Amino acid sequence: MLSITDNRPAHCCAGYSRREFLRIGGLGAGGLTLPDLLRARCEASSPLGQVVRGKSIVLLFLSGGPSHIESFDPKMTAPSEIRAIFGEVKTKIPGVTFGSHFPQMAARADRMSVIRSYGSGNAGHSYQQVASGNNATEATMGAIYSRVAGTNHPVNGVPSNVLLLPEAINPELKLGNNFETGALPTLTQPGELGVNFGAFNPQGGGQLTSNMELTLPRERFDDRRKLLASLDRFKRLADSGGLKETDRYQQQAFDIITGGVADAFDLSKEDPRTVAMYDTSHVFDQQEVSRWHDMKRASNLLGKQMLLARRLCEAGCGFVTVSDCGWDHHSNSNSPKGLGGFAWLGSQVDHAVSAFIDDVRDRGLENEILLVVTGEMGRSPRINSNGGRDHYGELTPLVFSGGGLPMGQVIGRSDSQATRASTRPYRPEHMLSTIMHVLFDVGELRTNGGLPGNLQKVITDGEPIDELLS
Amino acid sequence: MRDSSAVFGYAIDNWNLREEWIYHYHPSLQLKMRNLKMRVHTASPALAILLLAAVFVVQTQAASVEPLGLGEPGTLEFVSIETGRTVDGVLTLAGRDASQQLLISGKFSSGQIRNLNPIATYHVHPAGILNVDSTGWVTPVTEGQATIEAETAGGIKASVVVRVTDLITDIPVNFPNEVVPVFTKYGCNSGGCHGKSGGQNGFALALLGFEPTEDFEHLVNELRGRRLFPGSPDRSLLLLKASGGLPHGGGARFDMDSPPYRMIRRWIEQGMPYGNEEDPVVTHIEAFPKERLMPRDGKQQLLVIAHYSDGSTRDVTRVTQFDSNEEDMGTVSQTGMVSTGKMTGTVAVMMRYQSHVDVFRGTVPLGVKVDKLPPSNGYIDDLVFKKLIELGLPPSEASTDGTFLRRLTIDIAGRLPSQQETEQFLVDQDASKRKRAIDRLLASSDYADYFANKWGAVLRNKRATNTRKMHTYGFHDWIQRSMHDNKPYDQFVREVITASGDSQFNPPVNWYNEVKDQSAQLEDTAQLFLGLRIQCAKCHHHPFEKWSQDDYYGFAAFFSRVGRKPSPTDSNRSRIFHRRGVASANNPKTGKKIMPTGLGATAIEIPVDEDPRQQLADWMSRHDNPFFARALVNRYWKHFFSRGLVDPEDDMRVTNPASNPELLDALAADFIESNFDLKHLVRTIANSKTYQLSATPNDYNENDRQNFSRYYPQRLKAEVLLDSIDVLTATPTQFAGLPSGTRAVQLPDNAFDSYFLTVFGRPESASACECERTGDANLAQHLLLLNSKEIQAKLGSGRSAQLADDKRDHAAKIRDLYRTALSREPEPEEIAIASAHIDKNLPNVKAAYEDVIWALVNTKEFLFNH
Repeated sequence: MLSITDNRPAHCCAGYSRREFLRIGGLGAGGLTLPDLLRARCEASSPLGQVVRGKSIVLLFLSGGPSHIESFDPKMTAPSEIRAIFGEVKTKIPGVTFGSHFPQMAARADRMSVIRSYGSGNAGHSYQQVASGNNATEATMGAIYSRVAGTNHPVNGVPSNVLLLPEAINPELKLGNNFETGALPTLTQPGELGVNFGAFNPQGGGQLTSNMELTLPRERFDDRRKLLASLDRFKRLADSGGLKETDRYQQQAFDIITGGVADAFDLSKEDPRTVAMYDTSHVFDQQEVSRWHDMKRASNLLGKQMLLARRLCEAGCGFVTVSDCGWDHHSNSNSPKGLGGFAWLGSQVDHAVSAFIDDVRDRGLENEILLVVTGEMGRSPRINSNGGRDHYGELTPLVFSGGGLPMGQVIGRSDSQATRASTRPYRPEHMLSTIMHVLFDVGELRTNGGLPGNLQKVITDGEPIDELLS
Repeated sequence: MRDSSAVFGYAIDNWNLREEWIYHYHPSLQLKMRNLKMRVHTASPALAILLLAAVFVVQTQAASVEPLGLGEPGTLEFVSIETGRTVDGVLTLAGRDASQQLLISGKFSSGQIRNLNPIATYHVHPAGILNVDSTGWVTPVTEGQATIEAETAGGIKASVVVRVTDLITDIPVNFPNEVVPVFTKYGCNSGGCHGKSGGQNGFALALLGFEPTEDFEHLVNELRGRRLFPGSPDRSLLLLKASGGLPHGGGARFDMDSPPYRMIRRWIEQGMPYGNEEDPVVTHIEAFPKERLMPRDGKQQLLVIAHYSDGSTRDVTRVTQFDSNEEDMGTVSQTGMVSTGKMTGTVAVMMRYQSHVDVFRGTVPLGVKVDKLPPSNGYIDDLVFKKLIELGLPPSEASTDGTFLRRLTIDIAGRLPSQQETEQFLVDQDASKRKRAIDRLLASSDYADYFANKWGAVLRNKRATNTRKMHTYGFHDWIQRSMHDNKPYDQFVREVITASGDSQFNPPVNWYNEVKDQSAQLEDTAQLFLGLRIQCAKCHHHPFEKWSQDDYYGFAAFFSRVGRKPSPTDSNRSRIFHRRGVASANNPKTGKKIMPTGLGATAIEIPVDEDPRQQLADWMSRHDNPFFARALVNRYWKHFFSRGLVDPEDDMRVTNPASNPELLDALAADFIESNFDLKHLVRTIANSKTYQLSATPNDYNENDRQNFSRYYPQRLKAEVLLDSIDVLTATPTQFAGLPSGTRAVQLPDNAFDSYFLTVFGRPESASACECERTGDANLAQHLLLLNSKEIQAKLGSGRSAQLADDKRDHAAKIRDLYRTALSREPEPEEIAIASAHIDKNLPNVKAAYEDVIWALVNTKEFLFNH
C-alpha cells in the first residue's frame, strides 16, 4: 500500500487479513461484535475500504430549529428577555450549566463536548445544508459515508446509511403533514452521488424499500431460487471483476427479501429492560402535542429510535440519522405559548440521549460510536411577544458524545446576549470535516485515488473543530 | 456453533470436488488449509483430529509438487559487492554522517543472481577504521583506509576498499539535503501529522518536505526558538519528542543515538545552519538493482544513491522512504529489504528521497513450464506470452466461439449478439471468422454508439438544465460521428481542447461549458488525455511524482487566454474565444510568472495573436510526447481487459509502473505509427490471442490479476445490462422524448431518469474520471433484479407471452433463450432442468417461462462479460 501517512496503525485494517475477513463471512455474522464488523468493512472489495476507520455516527437531528439558549447555553446572566425561560441546572463540570430540562445530560456532561460557538449560518429550515456541511456536491454526510464505505455492510448486508423516522418504530403511526413532511428527504439526500447512496429508510417507501418486500407468492419465489441455483454454472470462475461480490450480494438480497436483515430493525429482539430504559413514551402525550400544527411530526418515540440506532450500529451500520421533528417554537398559534413545545421535546431528548450514552458505554462502544446532536438552526436570542423564539442562524446547539474524541469540554463561547460566537465561530463545514475525520483516514484518502476529485476534496479539504481533533 | 455440522459437511464436499487441483496448486492449498483448520474449530474434537490428520497428509503430498518458482539456483560461482558509487575500486565515505549500504550479489551456475545480504558475514582490515553491521551497513569510525571482505556460502568472498575522510574537519550539515529527508522518512511531515495543513499541535512542517525554507522557519525561529537548544542539543524539544524523551502524540520515531538522531544533534550543535545557496542539490536518485527475478519468500536488499549537482554521490538508503505497491505480493522494510510472499507476479517498490523517486520491480515466477501457448497473433501476444513464460504462468485455454462472440460484441458494440448473429457464427467454418466479426462490428454504428457513450461521460457531457439539451445532444452527436468516421484521435482531442465559438455551431465547445475554470481545464486535460493526475501540484509538490507547482502553472498557462462571453441566444451558455495577449500563469507561492510549458517540456513563448491551446495540442500530438499515446492505449486496454496495464488508467506515474512496460510502449508506438487510428487499436487488441483467452482459470492462474493469463470477467455496464434484459424479455424501455427503439447505450446524455441505470453505476458525467462509473456489486442491484416490480413487469409481457403461444417444443424454445441470453447452446442437462420446471407449472406455461427468464437474468453468466 502506497501511503503518505505515517506508519502508525492509523486505519482500522491493521492486522486484519482478507482471509480472516472471508472467514467471518463463512461463519455468518451471528457471533460478531461491532468492532469485528466495523473492521471487516475495511476489507470490503474496494481499496477505498482502507480509508474507513470503522466508527459509526449517530446524527440526532432536531428538526425545526431547537433553541440554543434553553438547551446548552442558558445565559442566566443576561436580561430576562434573553436568558433561558426555564432556568438552568448544574452539570458535572464545575461552572457549566445546561437548560433546566436536561438534568440527566447535565449529570453526564463529562461524557460529551458541547460547542457554544457553533451556528448553522442559516435562519431557515435548511436540513440539507447542515447535514451536508454546505459541501458542493450537495450530498449529506451519510451519503458520503455510503459512497466511500459501500452501500451495505460487506458481511451481513446491513445498509451503511440509514434514516430513522418515528415511523420506523411504529409503522402504524399516522403523523400529520406540515412543512417538515416535504423537507425531510433533504435531510439525507445523496446530492450528486446518486440514489444508490441515499439513506435506507425502513419505512420511507422508495424503490429500494419496495424491492425488499416480496412481490411474488413465497412458494413461487423459492421455486425460482431453486431454478437459479441449478442453472447458475459459474461456480468455478475465479474471483475477479466482482463475481464473488455478486454472489454475496445476491445471497444477501435473498436473505433480506425472505426476512433476514429485518432482525437488526426489530426491537423485540432487545432485552425488555433495555427497551424500558430508553422508552420516552411517558414523557408527553402524543395527542396533546400533535394538536399543534408546527408539531404535527413530533412524536414521543425518540427513545426507541435511539435504541434502534444503537442496534443498527451494532449490526455494522456506519451512519444513522435519527430524525426528531417539531422544534419550530415560535409559540404563535402553531405551538404552545412560552416555549411549551420545547419543554416536552427537551425532556425527551434529555432522557433518550442519556439512555443512549449509558448503554453505549456499558457495551464498551463509547469510542466506536459518535453521537452528534444538532438541528438546522437556533432560536432568536430575544423572546418574542408570545413568549416564543423565532428563527436564528448565528448560534445553534451542537453536542458530540463518544467516538474516541476528547469529552468533557465546553468548546467556544457566545457573547453575553447569546447573539453570536465570541470565540472562533464554527459552521456546518467544521462539523462535516470533524465527522469525516472520525469516519475516514483523511490523509490516506487524499492519495487513495478511488474517489472522484470533487468528492475527495469535500472530505479532505475542510477544517475540523480544533478542540476535538488536534 | 449452531450450524457447525453443516459447515463441516460443506468443507468435506468441497474437498472432494477439488481434490485433484489441490494437489497441483500450492498457494490455493494454503488458503484451503486455513479454511479447513478454521472450520475444525467449529466441529467436534474427534472429527477435528480426523480432519487435521487429513490436512496433514494432503499438505505433504502437495508440497512435493509445488510449482518450481524461480527454481534451484545451482552452485554459487561468483560474489560481488555493489555500492553504486565505487570509483576505481575505492569507496569514499566523507563526513561523520556518511554511511553506505553494501549490496552483496551472488551469481549461480543456473545464471540466477540472488541477493546474499541475509547470509554474508564481514571482515574489516585493518580494524577500527569503520564498522559493518550484519545487514551490510557501513559507518565510519575514524579517518583512514580499510578493506571490507564479505564472506558468503562455501567461503566465496568479495571485497571493497573504503576510504574514510572529513571526520576531523566537520562538514556543515545541509538542512534541506540532510535534515528534511529525515522528517519524510519517519513520517513527521506526512499528511496525517505535522505535514497536514496547519500542522499538528501547533507544529507545522511542509507536506513531505517540499518547502525546506518553511520548515527551517518553523523549527528555528517560531516560538522564539524553543524547539531547538544549541546550548545542549540533547535537550532540544525536537529531539526529546522524536526520540520519546517527552510525551509525543506520534510516539518515539527513532532512538537516541540512532543515525538520524546523531545527524540532527550535530546540526543543532553547529548552530543550525541552513546551508549555502551554492551547496549542491540532489538531481536524481538511483536504485540498485532496478529489477530482479526473485524466489517465493525471497529477500532483496535495495540500495539508493543520490546524485548531486556537483557530480558527487551519496548513499541515502537509510533516509529513503520505501513503499510497496502490492503488500500481498511483497513488503519492504524501513532499511530497504524487500521480502516476497507466496504470490506470483511483480511487486513494485517506490523509493522517495526529497522530491525524487525511483522504483524497483521484483518479479516472482510461478515456475511452471509454459508449453501450450496459442500461436501468437502479433506483438501483443509476443509480449504477454514472454511475460507468462518468464513467470512460468500458463495461460487459460482459448475461449469458445460463442463466448468469444458474446465478449467481442459487448466490448465493441455494447450489446449482446443477436440470436441470428450467434447462429451464423457458430456454424461458420471459415478460419478467419473471428477476424471478420471484429471488422463487421467496428464498421457498425453500434461501435460508434458505444464508444460515444464512453467518451461522453468523461468529456462531461452533462445536461444541467433542459435548455441545454440541444447542446448535449449536439456534442453527443459530434462524438458519435467522430467515432464512426474514425477521426484520428489527435484530431479529436485537438478539436475538443481548442474549441472556440458557440456550441450550437461547434459542439465540442460544450466541453468548456461544463469544464469552467482554468484549473479544471488543465486538470481534466492532464487526467483524461495524458493519464496524469497533477491536481496535487496546484498547492504543493506532487508527493509521488516529479511535478512541481511550476509544472502545474506552466501547464495552466496554455488555458490562460481562454475568453468567455455569454451566448446571445442562451444566457446559460458561453461562447469561447481566444483573448489576445501573452499566455502565462503565476505560481502563487513564488509569485513567479510562468510561460506555457508542456509537462516535462521546455517553456515556449507564444505570440499574442496565437491561441496557446493550438500549441498545447501540437505538443500533445507530437510523436515523442511520452504521455498522450500511452494514456489512450492504456485506457482502451482497460476497456477490453478490465484492468489497465497501468491501473487506475488515469494515474500513470513512475511510481505506479505498468505491469508490462514493453507492451505499453509497443501499443503506444503502434498507435502513433497508425496515425492515432482508434479502430486500428481496437482491431489489434481484439485480434490478439490474449484477448481471446478463456475466463476460466486453469490450475495455476486463478490468482493472476495483472498478467492477463486469462480473461478477467466484468459485469455488464449499466446501459448494456438494461439493453440486454430488454432484448431477452422482448420489452424495450422507452426513454422520455426519444424515438422508441432507442437503446440505453444510445442515450445522448445522462439526464434520463432511470433507477435501473443509476443503481448499476451509470456515471453522472461530473468529472473526467472513469472511476465515476462503478462496476461494483451492491445490494440494491440484486434486490432490483430478484424482486422488483420493474423486472417482474418485463418478465410478465413480451417474451414469456410469445413463448407461451409458440407451438414448438420446449427444448427448441429454451435453445432460443440460451442463444439470445448467453450466445451458446444449452447443455442437455440445462434443457432438462428448464423443461422440468415448465412441466411442473402446467398449465401455466407463461408463468413458467417468466421463471426461466428470471433465472437466466440472474445468472452470473448473463450478468457478466466473460
